[in-house]
Amino acid sequence: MCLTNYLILSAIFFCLGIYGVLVRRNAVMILLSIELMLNAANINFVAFSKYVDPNMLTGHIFTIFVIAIEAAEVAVGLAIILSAYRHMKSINVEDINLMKW
Amino acid sequence: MNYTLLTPEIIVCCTALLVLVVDLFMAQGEGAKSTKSTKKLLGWIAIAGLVAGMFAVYNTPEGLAFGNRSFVNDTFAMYFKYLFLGIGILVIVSSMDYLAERTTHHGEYYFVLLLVIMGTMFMVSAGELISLYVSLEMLSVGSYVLVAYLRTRQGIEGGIKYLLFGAFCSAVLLYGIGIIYGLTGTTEIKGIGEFLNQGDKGCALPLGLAFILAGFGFKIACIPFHFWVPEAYEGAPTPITAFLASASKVASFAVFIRVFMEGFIGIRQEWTMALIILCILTMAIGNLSAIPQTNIKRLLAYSSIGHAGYLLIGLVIGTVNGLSAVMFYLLVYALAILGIFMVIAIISKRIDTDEIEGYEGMYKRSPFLCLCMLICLASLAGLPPLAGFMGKFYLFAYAVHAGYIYLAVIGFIFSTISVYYYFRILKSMYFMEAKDESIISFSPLLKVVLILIMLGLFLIGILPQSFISSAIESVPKWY
Repeated sequence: MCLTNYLILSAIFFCLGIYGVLVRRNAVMILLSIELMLNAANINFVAFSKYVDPNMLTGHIFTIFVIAIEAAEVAVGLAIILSAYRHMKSINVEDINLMKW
Repeated sequence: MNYTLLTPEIIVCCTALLVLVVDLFMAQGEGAKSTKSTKKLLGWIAIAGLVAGMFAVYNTPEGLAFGNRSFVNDTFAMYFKYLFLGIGILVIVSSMDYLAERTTHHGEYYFVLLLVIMGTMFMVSAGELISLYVSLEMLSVGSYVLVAYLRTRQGIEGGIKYLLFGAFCSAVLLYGIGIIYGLTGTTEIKGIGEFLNQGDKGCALPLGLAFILAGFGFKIACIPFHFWVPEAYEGAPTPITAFLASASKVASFAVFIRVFMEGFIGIRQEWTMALIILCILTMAIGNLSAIPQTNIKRLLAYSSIGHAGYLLIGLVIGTVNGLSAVMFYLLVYALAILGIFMVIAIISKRIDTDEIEGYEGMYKRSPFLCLCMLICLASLAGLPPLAGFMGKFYLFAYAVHAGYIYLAVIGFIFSTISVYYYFRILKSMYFMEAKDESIISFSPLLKVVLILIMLGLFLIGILPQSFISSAIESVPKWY
Protein backbone atom coordinates (compact mmCIF):
# COMPACT_ATOMS: atom_id res chain seq x y z
CA MET A 1 0.00 0.00 0.00
CA CYS A 2 1.35 3.40 -0.85
CA LEU A 3 0.38 6.77 0.57
CA THR A 4 -1.60 7.74 -2.54
CA ASN A 5 -4.22 5.05 -1.95
CA TYR A 6 -5.01 6.40 1.48
CA LEU A 7 -5.20 9.95 0.17
CA ILE A 8 -7.58 8.92 -2.62
CA LEU A 9 -9.77 7.07 -0.13
CA SER A 10 -9.86 10.09 2.14
CA ALA A 11 -10.60 12.47 -0.75
CA ILE A 12 -13.53 10.23 -1.82
CA PHE A 13 -14.93 10.26 1.72
CA PHE A 14 -14.49 14.01 1.96
CA CYS A 15 -16.34 14.60 -1.30
CA LEU A 16 -19.11 12.20 -0.26
CA GLY A 17 -19.42 14.19 2.95
CA ILE A 18 -19.70 17.50 1.10
CA TYR A 19 -22.24 15.94 -1.27
CA GLY A 20 -24.28 14.78 1.71
CA VAL A 21 -24.20 18.19 3.35
CA LEU A 22 -25.37 19.87 0.16
CA VAL A 23 -28.05 17.36 -0.82
CA ARG A 24 -29.56 16.11 2.44
CA ARG A 25 -32.29 18.17 4.07
CA ASN A 26 -32.54 16.26 7.33
CA ALA A 27 -30.44 17.94 10.04
CA VAL A 28 -29.27 14.63 11.51
CA MET A 29 -28.14 13.41 8.10
CA ILE A 30 -26.22 16.65 7.56
CA LEU A 31 -24.50 16.11 10.89
CA LEU A 32 -23.65 12.56 9.82
CA SER A 33 -22.20 13.81 6.54
CA ILE A 34 -20.04 16.26 8.47
CA GLU A 35 -18.79 13.34 10.55
CA LEU A 36 -17.82 11.63 7.31
CA MET A 37 -15.77 14.70 6.35
CA LEU A 38 -14.05 14.75 9.74
CA ASN A 39 -13.22 11.07 9.41
CA ALA A 40 -11.80 11.69 5.96
CA ALA A 41 -9.45 14.18 7.59
CA ASN A 42 -8.62 11.56 10.23
CA ILE A 43 -7.61 9.04 7.54
CA ASN A 44 -5.31 11.72 6.15
CA PHE A 45 -3.72 12.32 9.53
CA VAL A 46 -3.08 8.65 10.24
CA ALA A 47 -1.69 8.03 6.74
CA PHE A 48 0.60 11.07 6.90
CA SER A 49 1.70 10.10 10.37
CA LYS A 50 2.81 6.69 9.09
CA TYR A 51 4.48 7.81 5.87
CA VAL A 52 5.74 11.35 6.48
CA ASP A 53 6.40 11.53 10.19
CA PRO A 54 6.83 7.92 11.44
CA ASN A 55 8.80 8.71 14.61
CA MET A 56 6.61 11.33 16.23
CA LEU A 57 3.05 9.93 15.99
CA THR A 58 1.72 13.52 15.81
CA GLY A 59 -0.98 12.52 13.35
CA HIS A 60 -2.24 9.69 15.55
CA ILE A 61 -2.49 12.02 18.53
CA PHE A 62 -4.33 14.57 16.42
CA THR A 63 -6.79 11.88 15.33
CA ILE A 64 -7.56 10.91 18.92
CA PHE A 65 -8.27 14.55 19.78
CA VAL A 66 -10.46 14.93 16.72
CA ILE A 67 -12.51 11.83 17.61
CA ALA A 68 -13.14 13.17 21.12
CA ILE A 69 -14.12 16.61 19.84
CA GLU A 70 -16.39 15.04 17.21
CA ALA A 71 -18.25 13.24 19.96
CA ALA A 72 -18.72 16.47 21.92
CA GLU A 73 -19.88 18.31 18.82
CA VAL A 74 -22.41 15.60 17.96
CA ALA A 75 -23.73 15.56 21.52
CA VAL A 76 -24.36 19.30 21.43
CA GLY A 77 -25.68 19.08 17.87
CA LEU A 78 -28.20 16.35 18.65
CA ALA A 79 -29.35 18.23 21.75
CA ILE A 80 -30.04 21.36 19.70
CA ILE A 81 -31.75 19.34 16.95
CA LEU A 82 -33.91 17.62 19.58
CA SER A 83 -35.08 20.92 21.03
CA ALA A 84 -35.72 22.16 17.50
CA TYR A 85 -37.93 19.12 16.95
CA ARG A 86 -39.90 19.97 20.10
CA HIS A 87 -40.51 23.49 18.84
CA MET A 88 -41.15 22.92 15.17
CA LYS A 89 -42.10 19.24 14.91
CA SER A 90 -39.57 18.84 12.12
CA ILE A 91 -35.84 18.49 11.65
CA ASN A 92 -35.91 19.32 7.97
CA VAL A 93 -33.63 22.32 7.53
CA GLU A 94 -36.00 23.81 5.00
CA ASP A 95 -38.71 24.04 7.66
CA ILE A 96 -36.33 25.76 10.05
CA ASN A 97 -36.54 29.11 8.33
CA LEU A 98 -38.37 31.57 10.52
CA MET A 99 -35.60 34.04 9.84
CA LYS A 100 -34.61 34.61 6.25
CA TRP A 101 -31.35 33.00 5.21
CA MET B 1 6.68 21.49 32.37
CA ASN B 2 5.88 24.92 33.68
CA TYR B 3 2.32 24.99 34.91
CA THR B 4 2.61 28.51 36.35
CA LEU B 5 2.18 29.82 32.79
CA LEU B 6 -1.29 28.30 32.79
CA THR B 7 -2.42 30.13 35.94
CA PRO B 8 -4.95 32.45 34.24
CA GLU B 9 -6.59 29.56 32.40
CA ILE B 10 -6.62 27.39 35.54
CA ILE B 11 -8.26 30.21 37.51
CA VAL B 12 -10.98 30.65 34.88
CA CYS B 13 -11.57 26.89 34.72
CA CYS B 14 -11.81 26.58 38.53
CA THR B 15 -14.22 29.53 38.63
CA ALA B 16 -16.39 27.77 36.06
CA LEU B 17 -16.51 24.62 38.17
CA LEU B 18 -17.14 26.66 41.32
CA VAL B 19 -20.10 28.37 39.69
CA LEU B 20 -21.57 25.00 38.76
CA VAL B 21 -21.16 23.59 42.28
CA VAL B 22 -22.48 26.74 43.99
CA ASP B 23 -25.49 26.71 41.68
CA LEU B 24 -26.18 23.09 42.59
CA PHE B 25 -26.23 23.73 46.35
CA MET B 26 -28.11 27.00 46.08
CA ALA B 27 -30.84 25.40 44.03
CA GLN B 28 -31.23 22.55 46.49
CA GLY B 29 -31.40 24.39 49.77
CA GLU B 30 -33.27 27.61 49.18
CA GLY B 31 -36.84 28.39 48.23
CA ALA B 32 -37.97 30.53 45.36
CA LYS B 33 -37.72 33.73 47.38
CA SER B 34 -33.97 33.96 47.64
CA THR B 35 -33.20 32.68 44.14
CA LYS B 36 -32.87 36.12 42.61
CA SER B 37 -29.99 37.14 44.88
CA THR B 38 -28.33 33.73 44.55
CA LYS B 39 -28.44 34.04 40.77
CA LYS B 40 -26.71 37.40 41.09
CA LEU B 41 -24.14 35.74 43.34
CA LEU B 42 -23.23 33.33 40.52
CA GLY B 43 -22.56 36.28 38.25
CA TRP B 44 -20.39 37.94 40.88
CA ILE B 45 -18.36 34.76 41.38
CA ALA B 46 -17.76 34.61 37.64
CA ILE B 47 -16.68 38.28 37.56
CA ALA B 48 -14.36 37.75 40.54
CA GLY B 49 -12.77 34.81 38.75
CA LEU B 50 -12.20 36.85 35.60
CA VAL B 51 -10.67 39.75 37.59
CA ALA B 52 -8.38 37.27 39.35
CA GLY B 53 -7.52 35.90 35.90
CA MET B 54 -6.47 39.40 34.81
CA PHE B 55 -4.09 39.73 37.75
CA ALA B 56 -2.75 36.28 36.94
CA VAL B 57 -2.08 37.29 33.33
CA TYR B 58 -0.19 40.32 34.67
CA ASN B 59 1.98 38.11 36.88
CA THR B 60 2.60 35.34 34.37
CA PRO B 61 6.04 35.29 32.74
CA GLU B 62 6.54 34.63 29.05
CA GLY B 63 7.56 31.20 27.93
CA LEU B 64 6.55 27.73 26.76
CA ALA B 65 4.46 25.69 29.18
CA PHE B 66 5.14 22.16 27.93
CA GLY B 67 8.56 22.37 26.31
CA ASN B 68 7.00 22.25 22.83
CA ARG B 69 4.97 25.06 21.33
CA SER B 70 1.51 23.76 22.22
CA PHE B 71 1.12 26.52 24.80
CA VAL B 72 3.06 29.71 24.11
CA ASN B 73 2.67 32.62 26.49
CA ASP B 74 4.10 35.61 24.64
CA THR B 75 3.19 39.31 24.69
CA PHE B 76 0.88 38.70 21.73
CA ALA B 77 -1.14 36.14 23.67
CA MET B 78 -1.14 38.25 26.83
CA TYR B 79 -2.52 41.32 25.03
CA PHE B 80 -5.47 39.25 23.84
CA LYS B 81 -5.98 37.52 27.18
CA TYR B 82 -6.51 40.89 28.86
CA LEU B 83 -9.00 41.69 26.14
CA PHE B 84 -10.94 38.42 26.55
CA LEU B 85 -11.12 38.69 30.33
CA GLY B 86 -12.35 42.28 30.00
CA ILE B 87 -14.94 41.27 27.41
CA GLY B 88 -15.98 38.39 29.67
CA ILE B 89 -16.59 40.75 32.59
CA LEU B 90 -18.73 43.08 30.48
CA VAL B 91 -20.71 40.18 28.99
CA ILE B 92 -21.41 38.77 32.45
CA VAL B 93 -22.48 42.17 33.81
CA SER B 94 -24.89 42.43 30.90
CA SER B 95 -26.07 38.80 31.33
CA MET B 96 -26.88 39.23 35.03
CA ASP B 97 -29.49 41.78 34.08
CA TYR B 98 -30.64 40.14 30.85
CA LEU B 99 -31.13 36.59 32.13
CA ALA B 100 -32.94 37.53 35.34
CA GLU B 101 -36.47 37.09 34.05
CA ARG B 102 -35.80 34.94 31.03
CA THR B 103 -34.52 31.70 32.52
CA THR B 104 -34.03 29.97 35.83
CA HIS B 105 -30.91 28.08 34.75
CA HIS B 106 -28.12 30.52 35.43
CA GLY B 107 -25.36 28.24 36.70
CA GLU B 108 -24.91 26.32 33.46
CA TYR B 109 -24.96 29.55 31.46
CA TYR B 110 -22.05 31.07 33.40
CA PHE B 111 -20.29 27.70 33.40
CA VAL B 112 -20.36 27.38 29.63
CA LEU B 113 -19.55 31.07 29.17
CA LEU B 114 -16.46 30.81 31.39
CA LEU B 115 -15.30 27.67 29.60
CA VAL B 116 -15.71 29.42 26.25
CA ILE B 117 -13.63 32.34 27.56
CA MET B 118 -11.02 29.80 28.63
CA GLY B 119 -11.15 28.37 25.10
CA THR B 120 -10.40 31.79 23.60
CA MET B 121 -7.47 32.19 26.01
CA PHE B 122 -6.01 28.83 24.97
CA MET B 123 -6.62 29.74 21.34
CA VAL B 124 -4.38 32.80 21.37
CA SER B 125 -1.68 30.82 23.16
CA ALA B 126 -1.73 27.92 20.72
CA GLY B 127 1.53 27.75 18.78
CA GLU B 128 0.70 24.35 17.41
CA LEU B 129 -2.14 23.10 15.25
CA ILE B 130 -3.43 20.38 17.61
CA SER B 131 -3.92 22.72 20.56
CA LEU B 132 -5.23 25.35 18.14
CA TYR B 133 -7.89 23.00 16.79
CA VAL B 134 -8.91 21.77 20.24
CA SER B 135 -9.27 25.28 21.67
CA LEU B 136 -11.07 26.49 18.55
CA GLU B 137 -13.63 23.73 19.02
CA MET B 138 -13.88 24.59 22.72
CA LEU B 139 -14.96 28.05 21.63
CA SER B 140 -17.27 26.80 18.87
CA VAL B 141 -19.10 24.01 20.72
CA GLY B 142 -19.67 26.25 23.74
CA SER B 143 -20.97 29.00 21.46
CA TYR B 144 -23.50 26.65 19.84
CA VAL B 145 -24.88 25.86 23.29
CA LEU B 146 -25.03 29.51 24.32
CA VAL B 147 -26.74 30.67 21.12
CA ALA B 148 -29.58 28.18 21.66
CA TYR B 149 -29.52 28.57 25.44
CA LEU B 150 -32.90 30.24 25.99
CA ARG B 151 -34.65 27.71 23.72
CA THR B 152 -36.69 30.34 21.98
CA ARG B 153 -37.61 29.42 18.46
CA GLN B 154 -35.24 31.95 16.96
CA GLY B 155 -32.45 30.96 19.31
CA ILE B 156 -32.72 27.32 18.33
CA GLU B 157 -32.87 28.22 14.66
CA GLY B 158 -29.76 30.37 15.00
CA GLY B 159 -28.11 27.58 16.98
CA ILE B 160 -28.82 24.93 14.32
CA LYS B 161 -27.54 27.11 11.49
CA TYR B 162 -24.45 28.07 13.46
CA LEU B 163 -23.85 24.44 14.39
CA LEU B 164 -24.19 23.02 10.88
CA PHE B 165 -22.08 25.72 9.25
CA GLY B 166 -19.57 25.62 12.08
CA ALA B 167 -19.13 21.88 12.01
CA PHE B 168 -18.86 21.91 8.21
CA CYS B 169 -16.20 24.61 8.23
CA SER B 170 -14.26 22.99 11.03
CA ALA B 171 -14.18 19.76 8.99
CA VAL B 172 -12.85 21.75 6.02
CA LEU B 173 -10.28 23.45 8.27
CA LEU B 174 -9.22 20.08 9.63
CA TYR B 175 -8.75 18.66 6.14
CA GLY B 176 -6.61 21.68 5.30
CA ILE B 177 -4.54 21.21 8.44
CA GLY B 178 -4.11 17.57 7.44
CA ILE B 179 -2.74 18.56 4.03
CA ILE B 180 -0.32 21.07 5.57
CA TYR B 181 0.81 18.44 8.08
CA GLY B 182 1.39 15.97 5.29
CA LEU B 183 3.48 18.48 3.32
CA THR B 184 5.60 19.73 6.19
CA GLY B 185 5.65 16.78 8.58
CA THR B 186 4.99 18.94 11.60
CA THR B 187 2.06 20.59 13.31
CA GLU B 188 4.09 23.30 15.02
CA ILE B 189 3.31 26.63 13.36
CA LYS B 190 6.91 27.77 13.72
CA GLY B 191 8.16 24.52 12.19
CA ILE B 192 5.73 24.90 9.29
CA GLY B 193 7.07 28.43 8.74
CA GLU B 194 10.68 27.23 8.72
CA PHE B 195 9.85 24.38 6.34
CA LEU B 196 8.00 26.61 3.88
CA ASN B 197 10.81 29.20 3.97
CA GLN B 198 13.19 26.62 2.51
CA GLY B 199 11.31 26.85 -0.74
CA ASP B 200 10.44 23.15 -0.92
CA LYS B 201 6.70 23.28 -1.58
CA GLY B 202 4.33 20.56 -2.68
CA CYS B 203 1.68 21.04 -5.34
CA ALA B 204 -1.08 20.46 -2.78
CA LEU B 205 -0.09 23.58 -0.85
CA PRO B 206 -2.67 25.93 -2.44
CA LEU B 207 -5.42 23.40 -1.66
CA GLY B 208 -4.40 23.21 2.00
CA LEU B 209 -4.12 26.99 2.19
CA ALA B 210 -7.57 27.45 0.65
CA PHE B 211 -9.15 25.02 3.13
CA ILE B 212 -7.48 26.70 6.10
CA LEU B 213 -8.53 30.10 4.79
CA ALA B 214 -12.13 28.83 4.52
CA GLY B 215 -12.05 27.53 8.09
CA PHE B 216 -10.75 30.80 9.51
CA GLY B 217 -12.94 32.80 7.16
CA PHE B 218 -15.94 31.16 8.79
CA LYS B 219 -14.76 32.08 12.28
CA ILE B 220 -13.98 35.71 11.48
CA ALA B 221 -17.21 35.90 9.40
CA CYS B 222 -15.81 37.09 6.10
CA ILE B 223 -17.89 37.03 3.01
CA PRO B 224 -18.46 33.69 1.31
CA PHE B 225 -18.62 32.05 4.77
CA HIS B 226 -20.90 34.52 6.52
CA PHE B 227 -24.35 32.89 6.23
CA TRP B 228 -24.50 31.93 9.87
CA VAL B 229 -23.74 35.42 11.18
CA PRO B 230 -27.12 37.19 10.89
CA GLU B 231 -29.06 34.14 12.08
CA ALA B 232 -26.85 33.37 15.06
CA TYR B 233 -26.58 37.03 16.06
CA GLU B 234 -30.32 37.57 15.83
CA GLY B 235 -31.32 34.38 17.59
CA ALA B 236 -28.78 34.40 20.41
CA PRO B 237 -29.42 36.03 23.79
CA THR B 238 -28.15 39.61 23.38
CA PRO B 239 -25.14 39.29 25.75
CA ILE B 240 -24.08 36.21 23.78
CA THR B 241 -24.44 38.16 20.55
CA ALA B 242 -22.08 40.70 22.10
CA PHE B 243 -19.69 37.88 22.97
CA LEU B 244 -19.80 36.40 19.45
CA ALA B 245 -19.29 39.81 17.88
CA SER B 246 -16.35 40.66 20.15
CA ALA B 247 -14.46 37.79 21.78
CA SER B 248 -15.14 35.15 19.15
CA LYS B 249 -14.09 37.47 16.35
CA VAL B 250 -11.06 38.79 18.23
CA ALA B 251 -9.85 35.27 19.04
CA SER B 252 -10.29 34.14 15.46
CA PHE B 253 -8.32 37.12 14.17
CA ALA B 254 -5.56 36.41 16.69
CA VAL B 255 -5.29 32.82 15.49
CA PHE B 256 -5.50 33.94 11.88
CA ILE B 257 -2.58 36.32 12.48
CA ARG B 258 -0.50 33.66 14.23
CA VAL B 259 -1.03 30.98 11.59
CA PHE B 260 -0.64 33.19 8.53
CA MET B 261 2.10 35.50 9.80
CA GLU B 262 4.19 32.90 11.59
CA GLY B 263 3.44 29.81 9.52
CA PHE B 264 2.66 30.97 5.99
CA ILE B 265 4.62 34.21 5.79
CA GLY B 266 7.24 32.60 3.52
CA ILE B 267 4.61 31.94 0.84
CA ARG B 268 2.89 35.32 1.04
CA GLN B 269 2.48 35.67 -2.70
CA GLU B 270 0.29 32.53 -2.73
CA TRP B 271 -2.40 33.95 -0.44
CA THR B 272 -2.17 37.75 -0.51
CA MET B 273 -4.29 38.01 -3.65
CA ALA B 274 -6.99 35.73 -2.20
CA LEU B 275 -7.00 37.78 0.98
CA ILE B 276 -7.36 41.06 -0.94
CA ILE B 277 -10.37 39.69 -2.83
CA LEU B 278 -11.96 38.41 0.39
CA CYS B 279 -11.26 41.74 2.04
CA ILE B 280 -12.93 43.85 -0.66
CA LEU B 281 -15.92 41.48 -0.95
CA THR B 282 -16.37 41.45 2.81
CA MET B 283 -16.32 45.23 3.11
CA ALA B 284 -18.69 45.65 0.16
CA ILE B 285 -21.30 42.96 0.82
CA GLY B 286 -21.23 43.35 4.61
CA ASN B 287 -21.85 47.08 4.54
CA LEU B 288 -24.32 47.04 1.63
CA SER B 289 -26.46 44.25 3.11
CA ALA B 290 -26.68 46.14 6.39
CA ILE B 291 -28.56 49.01 4.73
CA PRO B 292 -32.01 47.39 4.22
CA GLN B 293 -32.10 45.58 7.61
CA THR B 294 -34.94 46.38 9.99
CA ASN B 295 -33.80 44.29 12.95
CA ILE B 296 -31.09 46.02 14.97
CA LYS B 297 -29.20 42.80 15.80
CA ARG B 298 -29.22 41.74 12.15
CA LEU B 299 -28.03 45.18 11.10
CA LEU B 300 -25.15 45.00 13.56
CA ALA B 301 -24.39 41.46 12.40
CA TYR B 302 -23.88 42.68 8.83
CA SER B 303 -21.92 45.67 10.07
CA SER B 304 -19.66 43.32 12.04
CA ILE B 305 -19.04 41.45 8.78
CA GLY B 306 -18.03 44.79 7.28
CA HIS B 307 -15.63 45.38 10.18
CA ALA B 308 -14.01 41.99 9.50
CA GLY B 309 -13.31 43.41 6.04
CA TYR B 310 -11.49 46.46 7.42
CA LEU B 311 -9.49 44.21 9.73
CA LEU B 312 -8.42 42.02 6.80
CA ILE B 313 -6.69 45.09 5.33
CA GLY B 314 -4.23 44.91 8.22
CA LEU B 315 -3.53 41.26 7.47
CA VAL B 316 -2.95 42.07 3.81
CA ILE B 317 -0.38 44.70 4.86
CA GLY B 318 1.25 42.11 7.10
CA THR B 319 3.95 44.34 8.60
CA VAL B 320 4.45 44.93 12.32
CA ASN B 321 2.64 48.25 11.90
CA GLY B 322 -0.24 46.63 10.03
CA LEU B 323 -0.68 43.95 12.67
CA SER B 324 -0.50 46.44 15.51
CA ALA B 325 -3.23 48.44 13.76
CA VAL B 326 -5.36 45.27 13.61
CA MET B 327 -4.82 44.60 17.31
CA PHE B 328 -5.64 48.19 18.21
CA TYR B 329 -8.74 48.13 16.00
CA LEU B 330 -9.92 44.89 17.62
CA LEU B 331 -9.73 46.53 21.05
CA VAL B 332 -11.64 49.61 19.91
CA TYR B 333 -14.21 47.62 17.97
CA ALA B 334 -14.85 45.21 20.86
CA LEU B 335 -15.38 48.07 23.30
CA ALA B 336 -17.89 49.86 21.07
CA ILE B 337 -19.84 46.75 20.07
CA LEU B 338 -20.10 45.62 23.71
CA GLY B 339 -21.49 49.02 24.67
CA ILE B 340 -24.09 48.82 21.91
CA PHE B 341 -25.24 45.33 22.77
CA MET B 342 -25.44 46.20 26.47
CA VAL B 343 -27.79 49.04 25.59
CA ILE B 344 -29.81 46.73 23.31
CA ALA B 345 -30.03 44.14 26.10
CA ILE B 346 -31.36 46.75 28.54
CA ILE B 347 -33.88 48.16 26.07
CA SER B 348 -35.09 44.76 24.80
CA LYS B 349 -36.09 43.91 28.35
CA ARG B 350 -38.68 46.69 28.20
CA ILE B 351 -39.84 46.83 24.60
CA ASP B 352 -39.57 43.10 23.93
CA THR B 353 -38.44 43.48 20.34
CA ASP B 354 -35.23 44.04 18.44
CA GLU B 355 -36.85 45.82 15.51
CA ILE B 356 -35.55 49.34 14.92
CA GLU B 357 -39.15 50.61 14.90
CA GLY B 358 -39.35 49.74 18.57
CA TYR B 359 -36.62 52.26 19.28
CA GLU B 360 -38.68 55.20 18.12
CA GLY B 361 -38.70 58.05 20.58
CA MET B 362 -36.23 56.35 22.87
CA TYR B 363 -34.71 59.74 23.57
CA LYS B 364 -37.65 60.60 25.80
CA ARG B 365 -37.62 57.27 27.56
CA SER B 366 -33.95 57.16 28.46
CA PRO B 367 -31.63 59.96 27.36
CA PHE B 368 -28.65 58.22 28.95
CA LEU B 369 -29.03 55.01 26.94
CA CYS B 370 -29.45 57.07 23.78
CA LEU B 371 -26.29 59.01 24.49
CA CYS B 372 -24.42 55.77 25.07
CA MET B 373 -25.77 54.32 21.81
CA LEU B 374 -24.81 57.53 19.98
CA ILE B 375 -21.22 57.46 21.20
CA CYS B 376 -20.69 53.75 20.57
CA LEU B 377 -22.25 53.90 17.08
CA ALA B 378 -20.23 57.00 16.22
CA SER B 379 -17.10 55.16 17.32
CA LEU B 380 -17.98 52.15 15.15
CA ALA B 381 -18.64 54.48 12.23
CA GLY B 382 -15.22 56.05 12.80
CA LEU B 383 -16.07 59.63 13.66
CA PRO B 384 -13.46 61.75 15.44
CA PRO B 385 -12.61 62.26 18.28
CA LEU B 386 -13.71 58.73 19.23
CA ALA B 387 -11.60 55.60 19.40
CA GLY B 388 -13.06 54.12 16.21
CA PHE B 389 -11.65 57.02 14.22
CA MET B 390 -8.12 56.34 15.44
CA GLY B 391 -8.56 52.62 14.73
CA LYS B 392 -9.57 53.27 11.14
CA PHE B 393 -6.98 56.03 10.79
CA TYR B 394 -4.07 53.73 11.71
CA LEU B 395 -5.41 50.89 9.55
CA PHE B 396 -5.90 53.03 6.43
CA ALA B 397 -2.71 55.06 6.99
CA TYR B 398 -0.56 51.94 7.17
CA ALA B 399 -2.37 50.55 4.11
CA VAL B 400 -1.42 53.69 2.14
CA HIS B 401 2.10 53.49 3.52
CA ALA B 402 2.44 49.86 2.39
CA GLY B 403 1.21 50.72 -1.12
CA TYR B 404 -2.34 49.41 -0.87
CA ILE B 405 -3.91 52.79 -1.58
CA TYR B 406 -6.94 51.26 -3.30
CA LEU B 407 -7.76 49.19 -0.21
CA ALA B 408 -7.66 52.30 1.96
CA VAL B 409 -9.90 54.16 -0.51
CA ILE B 410 -12.43 51.30 -0.69
CA GLY B 411 -12.38 51.00 3.10
CA PHE B 412 -12.98 54.71 3.45
CA ILE B 413 -15.90 54.64 1.01
CA PHE B 414 -17.60 51.78 2.81
CA SER B 415 -17.06 53.26 6.23
CA THR B 416 -18.80 56.38 4.94
CA ILE B 417 -21.69 54.20 3.81
CA SER B 418 -21.76 52.63 7.27
CA VAL B 419 -22.42 56.06 8.79
CA TYR B 420 -25.74 56.05 6.91
CA TYR B 421 -27.17 52.90 8.48
CA TYR B 422 -25.78 53.60 11.93
CA PHE B 423 -27.50 56.96 11.88
CA ARG B 424 -30.74 55.34 10.80
CA ILE B 425 -30.85 53.77 14.27
CA LEU B 426 -30.05 57.12 15.87
CA LYS B 427 -32.67 58.85 13.74
CA SER B 428 -35.42 56.60 15.03
CA MET B 429 -34.15 57.07 18.59
CA TYR B 430 -33.86 60.84 18.51
CA PHE B 431 -36.24 62.22 15.91
CA MET B 432 -39.28 59.93 15.90
CA GLU B 433 -42.31 60.21 18.14
CA ALA B 434 -42.58 57.69 20.94
CA LYS B 435 -45.66 55.48 21.17
CA ASP B 436 -45.00 54.71 24.79
CA GLU B 437 -43.24 57.27 26.95
CA SER B 438 -42.56 55.28 30.10
CA ILE B 439 -39.07 55.74 31.51
CA ILE B 440 -36.64 52.85 31.10
CA SER B 441 -34.86 52.21 34.39
CA PHE B 442 -31.89 49.90 34.94
CA SER B 443 -29.40 48.97 37.61
CA PRO B 444 -26.70 51.47 38.71
CA LEU B 445 -24.04 48.84 37.99
CA LEU B 446 -24.93 48.88 34.29
CA LYS B 447 -24.89 52.67 34.34
CA VAL B 448 -21.37 52.74 35.80
CA VAL B 449 -20.14 50.18 33.26
CA LEU B 450 -21.69 52.10 30.35
CA ILE B 451 -20.11 55.36 31.59
CA LEU B 452 -16.74 53.58 31.77
CA ILE B 453 -17.17 52.29 28.19
CA MET B 454 -17.96 55.80 26.94
CA LEU B 455 -15.01 57.29 28.82
CA GLY B 456 -12.81 54.54 27.41
CA LEU B 457 -13.89 55.34 23.85
CA PHE B 458 -13.10 59.03 24.37
CA LEU B 459 -9.81 58.32 26.14
CA ILE B 460 -8.55 55.94 23.44
CA GLY B 461 -9.69 58.39 20.76
CA ILE B 462 -7.91 61.37 22.27
CA LEU B 463 -4.77 59.65 23.57
CA PRO B 464 -4.27 56.63 21.30
CA GLN B 465 -0.49 56.72 21.53
CA SER B 466 -0.02 54.54 24.61
CA PHE B 467 -2.53 51.98 23.35
CA ILE B 468 -1.04 51.70 19.87
CA SER B 469 2.48 51.46 21.29
CA SER B 470 1.40 48.64 23.62
CA ALA B 471 -0.07 46.93 20.56
CA ILE B 472 3.21 47.40 18.66
CA GLU B 473 5.17 45.94 21.59
CA SER B 474 2.81 42.96 21.63
CA VAL B 475 3.43 42.02 18.00
CA PRO B 476 5.97 39.21 18.17
CA LYS B 477 9.13 39.41 16.13
CA TRP B 478 8.20 36.67 13.71
CA TYR B 479 10.09 38.13 10.81
